[in-house]
Amino acid sequence: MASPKEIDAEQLRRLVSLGGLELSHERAFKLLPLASALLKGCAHLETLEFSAKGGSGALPPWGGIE
Amino acid sequence: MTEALFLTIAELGAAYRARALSPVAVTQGALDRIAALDHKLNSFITILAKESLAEAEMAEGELAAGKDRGPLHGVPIAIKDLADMAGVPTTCASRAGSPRMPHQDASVVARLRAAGAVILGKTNLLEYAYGAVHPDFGQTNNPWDPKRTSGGSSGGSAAAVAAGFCFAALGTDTGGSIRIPAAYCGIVGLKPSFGLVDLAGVQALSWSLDHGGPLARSSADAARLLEGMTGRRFAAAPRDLKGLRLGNMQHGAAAKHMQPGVRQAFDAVLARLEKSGAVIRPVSVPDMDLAPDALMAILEPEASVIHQRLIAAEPEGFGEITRQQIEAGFAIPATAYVRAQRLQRDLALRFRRLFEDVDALISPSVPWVAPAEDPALSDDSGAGEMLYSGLYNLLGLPALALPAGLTHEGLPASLQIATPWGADDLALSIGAAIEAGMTPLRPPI
Repeated sequence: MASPKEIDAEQLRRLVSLGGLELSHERAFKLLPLASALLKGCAHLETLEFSAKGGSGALPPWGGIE
Repeated sequence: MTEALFLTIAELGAAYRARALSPVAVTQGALDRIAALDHKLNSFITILAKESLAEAEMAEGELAAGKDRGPLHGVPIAIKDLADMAGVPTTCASRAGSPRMPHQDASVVARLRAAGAVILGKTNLLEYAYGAVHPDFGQTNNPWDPKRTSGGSSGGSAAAVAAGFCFAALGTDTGGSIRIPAAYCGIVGLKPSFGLVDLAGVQALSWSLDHGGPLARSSADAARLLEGMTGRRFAAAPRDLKGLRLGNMQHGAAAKHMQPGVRQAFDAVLARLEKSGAVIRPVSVPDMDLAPDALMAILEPEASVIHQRLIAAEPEGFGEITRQQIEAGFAIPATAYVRAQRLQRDLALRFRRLFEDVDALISPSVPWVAPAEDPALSDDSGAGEMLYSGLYNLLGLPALALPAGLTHEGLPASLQIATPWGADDLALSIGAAIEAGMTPLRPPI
C-alpha cells in the first residue's frame, strides 16, 4: 500500500469506508487534497518516540498527573 | 443609551441598584442597537426581543423588591447558537439536522438564567463550530472593519460584545474559537480549564478538546460571566505584577506567520510588564510544535464520529468545507489518534514542570490581525491561526486572550495568558492588571 502521503482516491474511499462512512469514488476524489493534508499531519506524529514503560491508566491530560 | 451599553458589568449593576438605569431600558437600548447595526455585522441568528424584554421586566421587578440575584441580574448577554435554549431553535449555523427545537436549556444557559442574565438572542458561528462559514448563514463581519471576519467559530458572540450589542456572551473553544474572535474583535475571551464549564446541552465538536467560556470587554466582566456559568467565584482582582514570573512562549513556526504590527504591539506590552516588575524569560517545551498536528489528529476523528449519522443522512445540508472535514476525519488512522493522545499526556507533564519555574505563560493570541475571511482549518494558514491557541486546548489549561492595543492599520492585536490547570482566576487577575495600564478599545461602528 502506498504511504498515506501518496494516497489515491480509491485508497481514500476504502480508508473512509473502514472508518465507517461510505463515499462514492467521485466524492473521494474531491476529498483527496484535504485528506492528504491531514494524513501528512498525522505522519509528522510518527517521528515521536513514546516510553513503552508505565504511563498506563486512564489519566487525563489536565491536573491529577503525578 | 449607547454609552450605557459600553459600561462594565459592575458599572451597569451599580446603576441598576442606584435606579439610574433600568434593565428594561438597557435591554430595549441593546435591541435597538442590534436592529440599527447588525445588518453590517450579521452577528445574531435569532433575536429574542419579546422574551428578553420580559426577562428584563422580571429582573427589574425583582431588584425593586430587593431580590438581588447578583452581578448578572438584568444584564443583557448572548448565547452562541450551539447551546440549547428551551423553545428556541438551535441551528449550529447549518442546514444539516437544523434547526432543532430543544425542550430544555443547556446546563450553562440554565445557570446564566438563574443568575438573572437577560438573554437577547443566539449568535452566529462557523458551521457546527468547525472552521467554515455555511453560505446560508454567512460570515460575521468585524466591527473594526466590516470587510474583515470577526473570526471563528464564536465570531457572532465576539462581534456582538465588541459592538455594544450585549455586555458578554457565551462561546465555545476547541482550537481557539473563543480566543481567536476575541483577538480579532479587540475584546477579552477566556478558554477556561478543561471541564470547568458544563457542556451538557451544548453541541459537541470534539469531546476531548471542547471548552465553554466567556467573551466580554474586560477580564472582570469575563469573570462575572464565568461565575454565572459555573456558580463559582472568580475575583479577577488585578494582580501585583512585581515579581510575576512570565514565560514568553517561543514557537518554531512563529516567524513564518507573525505580522510585524502584532509583534510590535506584543513587544510593547512585554516592555510595559517588565517596567512593572514582571520577570519575563523565553520558554519552550520539546515537541510542542507538533501540538497542531496532534490537535487535528484528535479533533478530526472525534468530529466525524459526532456527526456520523448526520453526514450519512444529510450530507447536502452541510456547507462543502464542513462536509469535507467531517468526511476526511473518517480516514484518520487509529495509530495517529493514539500518538496524539500520548503527546497530549507527555506535553501535559512537561508543562506541569515548566509551571514550577514560571507563574504564567504569555504569547500573542493570533499571529495576525483579522483577515478578510477565516482561513481553512486544515491548511497552513489554519495552523498559523491556531498556532498559539490550540496548544492549550490539547493541554486543557486556562488561556485568556486580551487586547494588546491597535496596530498601525487600526486593528486590534491580542495577547494570551495561560496558567496551570485550575488557575483560571490567576489568568483573569493577570489580565485585569494588564488592562489597568491600557486604554480600553472601542470599535468605530
